[in-house]
Parts: sequence; C-alpha cells; structure tokens
Amino acid sequence: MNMKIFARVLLALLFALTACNAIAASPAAAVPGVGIRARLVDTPVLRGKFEQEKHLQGFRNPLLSKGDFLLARDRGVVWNTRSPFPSAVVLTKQRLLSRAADGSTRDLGGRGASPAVATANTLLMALLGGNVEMLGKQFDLSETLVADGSWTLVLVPKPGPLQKIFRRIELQGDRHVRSVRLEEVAGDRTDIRFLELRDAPVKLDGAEAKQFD
Amino acid sequence: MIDQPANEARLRRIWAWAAWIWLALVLALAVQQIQFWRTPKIDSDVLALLPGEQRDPLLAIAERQIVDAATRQVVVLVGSSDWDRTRAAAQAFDASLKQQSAKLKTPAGDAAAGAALEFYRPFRDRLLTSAQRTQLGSSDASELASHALSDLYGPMAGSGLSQWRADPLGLWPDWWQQRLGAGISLRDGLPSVSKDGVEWAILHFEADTPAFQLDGQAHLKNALDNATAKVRALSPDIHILRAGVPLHAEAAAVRANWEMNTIGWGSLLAVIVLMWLAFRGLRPVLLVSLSLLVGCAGGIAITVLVFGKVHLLTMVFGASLVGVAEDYGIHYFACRQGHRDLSSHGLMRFLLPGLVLALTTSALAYLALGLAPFPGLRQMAVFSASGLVVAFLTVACWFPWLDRGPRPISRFGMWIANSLDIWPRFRSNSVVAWSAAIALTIFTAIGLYRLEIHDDLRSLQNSPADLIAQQREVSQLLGLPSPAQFYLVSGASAEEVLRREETLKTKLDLLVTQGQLHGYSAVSDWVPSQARQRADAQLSARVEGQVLAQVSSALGENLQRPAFATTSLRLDDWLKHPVSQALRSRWLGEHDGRWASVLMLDGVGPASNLALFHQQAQAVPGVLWVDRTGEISTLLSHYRAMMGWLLLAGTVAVGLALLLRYRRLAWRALLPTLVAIVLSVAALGWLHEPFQLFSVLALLLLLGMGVDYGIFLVEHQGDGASWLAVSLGAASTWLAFGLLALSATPALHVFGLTMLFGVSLVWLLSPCFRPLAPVLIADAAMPVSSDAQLCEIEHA
Repeated sequence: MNMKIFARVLLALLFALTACNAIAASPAAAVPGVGIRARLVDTPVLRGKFEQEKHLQGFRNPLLSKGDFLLARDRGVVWNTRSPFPSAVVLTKQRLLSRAADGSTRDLGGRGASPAVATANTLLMALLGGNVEMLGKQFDLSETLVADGSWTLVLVPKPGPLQKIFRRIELQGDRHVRSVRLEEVAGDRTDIRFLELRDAPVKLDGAEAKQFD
Repeated sequence: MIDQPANEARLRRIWAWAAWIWLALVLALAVQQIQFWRTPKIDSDVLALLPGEQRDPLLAIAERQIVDAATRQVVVLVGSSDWDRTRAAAQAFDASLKQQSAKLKTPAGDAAAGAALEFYRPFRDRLLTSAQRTQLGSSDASELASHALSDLYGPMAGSGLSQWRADPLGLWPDWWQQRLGAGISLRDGLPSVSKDGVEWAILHFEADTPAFQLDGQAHLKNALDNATAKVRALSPDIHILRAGVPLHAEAAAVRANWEMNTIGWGSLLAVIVLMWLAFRGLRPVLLVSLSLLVGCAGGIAITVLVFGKVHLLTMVFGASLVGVAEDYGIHYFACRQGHRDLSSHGLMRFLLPGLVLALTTSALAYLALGLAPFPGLRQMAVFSASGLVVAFLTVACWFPWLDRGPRPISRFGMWIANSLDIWPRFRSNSVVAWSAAIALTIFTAIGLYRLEIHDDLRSLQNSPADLIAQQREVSQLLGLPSPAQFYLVSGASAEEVLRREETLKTKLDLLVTQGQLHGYSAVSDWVPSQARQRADAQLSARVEGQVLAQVSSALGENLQRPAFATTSLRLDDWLKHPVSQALRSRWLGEHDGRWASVLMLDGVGPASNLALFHQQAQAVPGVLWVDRTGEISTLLSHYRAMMGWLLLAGTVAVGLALLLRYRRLAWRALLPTLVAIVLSVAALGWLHEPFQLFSVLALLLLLGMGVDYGIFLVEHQGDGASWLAVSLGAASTWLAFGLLALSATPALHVFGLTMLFGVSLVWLLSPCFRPLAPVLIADAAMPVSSDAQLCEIEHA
C-alpha cells in the first residue's frame, strides 16, 4: 500500500537510465528501447546539476528547485537540492532518508519498508546493467530515435500498481538522459532537466563517498 | 441340578429371544451406520480434542470464531535472492495452482485494495498511527512545515495516495503501511517481505474443500506440490514455504485414514490368522470377525449418539479395539475344544459369568480413560467401552446359534496349550531367576533415571515435522497471530471495548519496542474508538492547518485543506463493508449485555515471556489473557498426576480383591502386571519416549487387562485351554497396540508403545509365576471369576 515508494522507485529508475549501458546483456532486438540503450554511455559514476519544475494540484505556481546529484552504480543516489531550501535525499540499498541543512536526518523508508527500498535498488542495478527488458515488464515502451544521436522514450505503465500513480513518463536524451517528465494520474506533473553531466573520474572521491554514509 | 433336557430347552428358548432381539438391534445399527458413512460427522481438528472453556461463554465464542476463521487460510511464500526471480516464480506458482485445482482460490486482490482505499479516504484525518500521534502532538508546527517544504521541492512526486493538500505531511501511506504489517510491503502489486537476503513474495489462498475426506487423498498438498515442482523446474533454487490450518488438517486426515486402516485391518488379519491356526475352521474366523465388525460399528454409533460426532483420532485409537474385543470369541472357541460334551448353549451359559467379569474389568479400565475432562479421551473411552459391550453381546447372543458343526482342534492350538507345561518358572532358590531379577532391576533403575516427563499440547498433534517447520518459518517471517494465545477484551458497549483495546495497545507498543513482541492485530487498528477518532481528527486538523498556512505564506499560495467526513467511522459500517472481511472474526459482538473482541498477538512462540503478557492484562479492566497452550499443558500435567494416583488406588483395589480370593497365591496373579508396568515405564525411559498422561492411561488399561492373565493362570492351574485363550488374546492385543505405536500422533504412539511393552511382558511373565502344584481353592466363597473354571467344574 505504500505507494509513496513507487515515486521513489521511479526516481531511481530515471537516474539509472542516465547511466544505461551501450552493451546489451542479451541481444533482444525485438525489445523497444534497444536503440536507446545502444546510444547511452555506460558509466559507474555520474555527476551533474538539475533543475526541477513541479506542477501540483491546488498550487497556483510551479515549484522550482535547483541542485546537484551524484549517482554511483554500487552505492545509490544522492539528490542535493540547493535552492530554494537546501536538503538532500539519499537512496541506498538499505534505506531512503532525507538530510536537512542542519545535518539532521529523517527516515523516509517508513517502518519496515526496506523491501521497497530494495525494489528501488534492484531496479536501479538492473538498469545499470542495461536491462531494458525489465522496464518493458512494467511499462509499454515507445522510442523515437533522431539522426543526430538524440532520442525520446515514452513509458506508459502496464496494468498494475504503477498505473494507479503514473499516467505517462517521458525521457529525452543522447549519450545521457537530458530530461524527464512525470505525469501523475492525480494531475500533478514534474519536469526535470539535467545539466553539466560528468562521468569522470569513474571513482568517488572521499567527499562524494561520505554523502552515502 | 436341573433336569438336563428341560434345562437345555429353556436355554434354547432364552437364547432364541436374545438372538432375535439382538438381530433387530444390529439391523438398526446397520441402518444408522449406512446413514453415518454417507455424510460422516468426523472431526479432525486437534482443538476439538481439548477441554472446552467453561468459565466464560465469551471465550468459547472467541475460540470458535478464531478456529472458523483460520480453517480456510493457506499462505505460500515464494522466495529467492533476487526479487525478479521471486516475482516470476510467484506468478508461475499462482498460475499452476489456478490451472490444476479449483480447491485453492485466490481471494479478491487489486479491486479490493482500491475499494478499501476509497472506504477509508473520507476518514483519513481521523486515522493516525501512535507514532504519528506522538509526533504531531510534540513537534513544532514550523519544523513540520519546513520538512513539508523541503519535501515539496525535493524529488518526491507526491504521496501517490492523495493530493498533497489532503495529506501535506504524508501521514496516510504510513498508516496503511502499519495496517499491512511490520516488514511487509507491496512490490509489483504483490505483498512481500525481505529477510536475511531472501526476497519473499506472499501468496494467499483459500481452501475450498472440507479438511476431512474419506478418500485419504491429500488434494491440497498434491496441488501445492505440483505447483512447487513446476516452479522448481523453471529455477531450481527457489525457496517455497507453505502454512495454514487446512494443510495440517489434511495431513492429519490422510495420516489418520492410513493409520485407522492399518491398525484396524492389520489387527483383523492377525485375529483371522491366529483363529485359523488355532481352530482350523472357517466358522470361528467368520464368527469372530462378525463380532468385531458389529463391535466397531456399535462403538462408532454410540459415540456419535453421545457426542454428536467422532474425532479422527478416536477412530485411530478405536481401531485397536479389534485386537481387544476378539477376546470373547476366542475364549468361547478355546473353551469349546476342551468341552465337547456341552451344547453350544450350555457352553455359553457357563462361560457367561466369566466373560461378563472380564468385560466389566476391561470396560471399566477403558472408561477410566474418560475421567480426565478431555473430550477426545472421553470419546475414546466411550468408543472402546461400548464397542467391547457390543462385541460381547454379539458373541453371547449369536454364537450359540451360529456355531454348529464339528469342533476340530489344530496341532498349533495343542502346541500352544501344551507349552504352558514347559514354560520357565520363577523359583526362589534359582540362581538364574535371581540373576534375571537383578538384571531387570538395573534395567529399571537406569530406565527410570532417564525418564523424561513432558506435558505438552503438541503430544496431540500429528502434523509432519517439515510442515511444522515451514509453519514456524512462515510465522517468523510474517508474524502470524498465534491462535492459542490472545487477549479477550470485553466491555459494556462496543465503544468501551475499542477504548480498552487502545489502552492495552499502548502497553503492547512498549513490548514491541523492547523486542518482546512482533506485533498485534485488533479491530481498533481498523476502527479506532469514537473518542480516539475525534481526538485524532482535531489533532491533524490543527497541525495540518498550521503547516498549510505556513507553506502557503512561504510560497505565496492559498492552500486549503480539503473537507473530510464530519462524523467518525462507525464500527457497524466497517463490519458491513468487505474491507473488514479478514478481521471480522475478531469482533465477537454482544452477548448477554457484554461486548467483546479478540486482540491477537503476532510472533508469540515458546521463547516468549508469557508472564509479561499476563501482567498487561491485569493492568487494564475487562482484558483477559488467554493462554490455551499453557492451560492445556497444566491440565495434562494435573491429570497425569491424578491418573497416577488412580493407578495406585486401582492396584491396591485389585490387590485386595485378589487377596480375598487367592490368599497366599494373590501375589502370583498381581506381580506379573506390576513388574510389567514398572518395566514398561523403564523401557520408555530407555527409548527417550516422554512420560505423559497417555502413558499413565495406557498403564491403567494394562492393569485392567494384564491382571486377567495372571488370574486365569492361578485359577486354572495347568489348564492348557485357558493358556491358549490367554495367548491368542494377548497376541492380537499386542499386535493391535503395536500398530497403534506406529501412529504419528505422539499421544497415541506412546499409548500404543506402553501397551505393546506391557501386554507382551505380562504375557511372558504370568506363566513364570504360576503356582507350583494345583492348589484347591477350597476356602473361596464362590468360583465365579473365570469362564474356564466354570467349564472345568461342569466338566467334572
């Protein structure tokens, strides 16, 4: 029943896509998304900045936020919102927590929600391995490939729990995912743009690794 | 002496009447049996064997509802190290079950979850977890507002369950998470749990079949086994666990069916072979089989008449009756061989007093089993005693009529009869005898030293070990409620019951925090008391109002909290809605002006500190802690001790009776049984078999049956016919209880085993203590105690 978690799963999933591998684990040509997988760059670590725009029901104005993120294939994701309110969300194999500006943390995983966090992480890891087949189990995929190397991928949830939350998800990118649009059944919408993506160095430095602790 | 022909004619007239009356009764019995077996009222529930709760009618209702609710649920856990494989395996398992069997159904899933969500949505503001209540009550609104703001700007895409405005603090998903159960979450629409690196999917099924089926087939088990094989064929290292009352009931039914047939038919076969070897005639075999058949049918019929139904374990125990009730027929035929001059009526006339005495002692011994207030034991007592009486009446009323023709005696029969003369004899001046006595004393001392006493409810359970292990593992993973330990909460109104539940729950929350308890489930989890709902609605309205105001001012918005229901969620509405289906059985409703509910605990096991749970109950008015396992173990222990004293009293009474009749020789009749009793107990110690109520009951029965052997041998010194009857009877009794010892039900197993040792020991020992030379019992008041004696006197 904890549907909040599905939103988080999606978050993990999207980040994972940014680092999707060009080398398919199994050549499944019939699977949609294969073309995109071939264009994405495989990288164990990805850093960058983001701009997020949320349109929520009942709000007159969109909620705009900026920040940076860090993705490590074997650790998880850190999402640092810098403005307007500094805070961080850390998703690892074991937990999902929010870190406030003063360093205090809140467990967002909820009581005993670790399997759901694990789901997020399994999805993430499977995607890092370039497993579009798995995405295809949860979503109907349709890709548009442009000659200049860019592409668009539209995900529509298959009948099931995700269908109760998401109407449609759209990704755009080239060697990396450049933008994401989440459209929820309730009418809320989130747009995220990724900027200044860097995949070198391939190892986390000390300060980066510390963010996962 | 009466004139012989006139006497004979009178006897024939009496027997004709008796035979016809008995035929009418047996025909009625046959009709009853045909009706019974068409729709057998056979109980396979272990709890039905246990003493009913008398002190509180509400408790009886609680137990019935708990049992009823549990009788259909089957849980299957499918697990692997990887969720994707787990999900695929769970889907394959489910599909395989759907395909092959309509007996296991999947309860309503997705649609029901949606309906539940909509049912509760208007009351969202009134439903808080205890942690949320504390948090909202103690936190500063501006702190909560800043969290809400950072979440708004963070990567979260909303709570998914409702609009942000309707739940700005994200309280509702956590409330649902708590309803779902600690550690359980939905993944890809499947309830799941993760532990020690294994990702489990939880599949719920409802068994759509009566637990007991006469065909002895394990329908549910076979269906689950097939599905398991299908999944394992796809990926061999998938873990599959199953649990649920129907699986245990089915295993018990299949096992009992097999045991009943083995013991019943096995004993019958033994009786037939023995009869054939000894008497070389079809007639004795057929007649004795007939008496056994009628006896068993009578046992079932009278048990059903008294109790309304028969328990499966009663039938298993009752099957051993075949090895006991054959005694009367065997006595008749054994005695007949030595008394060819008597007509069959005359023979029966003279056998009758002895047979009646033997019947009385055996039936009394069986009825003594029913002194303990265990319905199961009472059924066994009534079944056995009435079966014996019916078998006896069949022998007494019909054998003189049906037994015509020649009376051959076989060489085997003669051989047994003559074996008495060469049987070793205990002599007080024999070195061998004393050496044997010393060896047996050492054997006994060590055996008794090793003896362990167990008064455990589990002695009545015969579930296969791997099913119990799986059940335990599933319970640990899911925190399944224990059906044997719970709280009964009562009050003057429904509201009072809910409030008391809530008071109790705050105490239990502490135990959960301390790790003493996995969790609990109660009606008030789903429908809090009206008072609690009002308080929570006020709290959430105040705090969420402040948060919305602060977020609005920070963002320049005008965020309004949507309206919720103006009245509280009512218990009646909940009970009527499908959402309450799984927990409806916890609500007992109103009985005699008292309202009550059951609060169940999750993950209570042998390691739990039960005294702690008892203490919690004492602190809240109207709350009663019920520990059925403990109660029954106490009862088993109490009655083990009580039956032990009864055994002692019985021994003294038998000893006095023997003393009156045999004077100096009395010890020769009693000692073999006493030695056999002590040695049997020692043997249990050697075999690490627990000593418990059922061992004592077996000893009681042994006293009733074993002394007979000694009596016969003291009464008819050197009489081969009597020895033949004893030997044949002992052999078939021995076999019947030996087969009972194979039972998977620990209680029946230990009963059978004790009897197996006891009967063989008495049979071996009795002739060792036979008197040296025939002694005339001149001072005896009346020679009444034995059939064979009467034969002898008449013969002389």
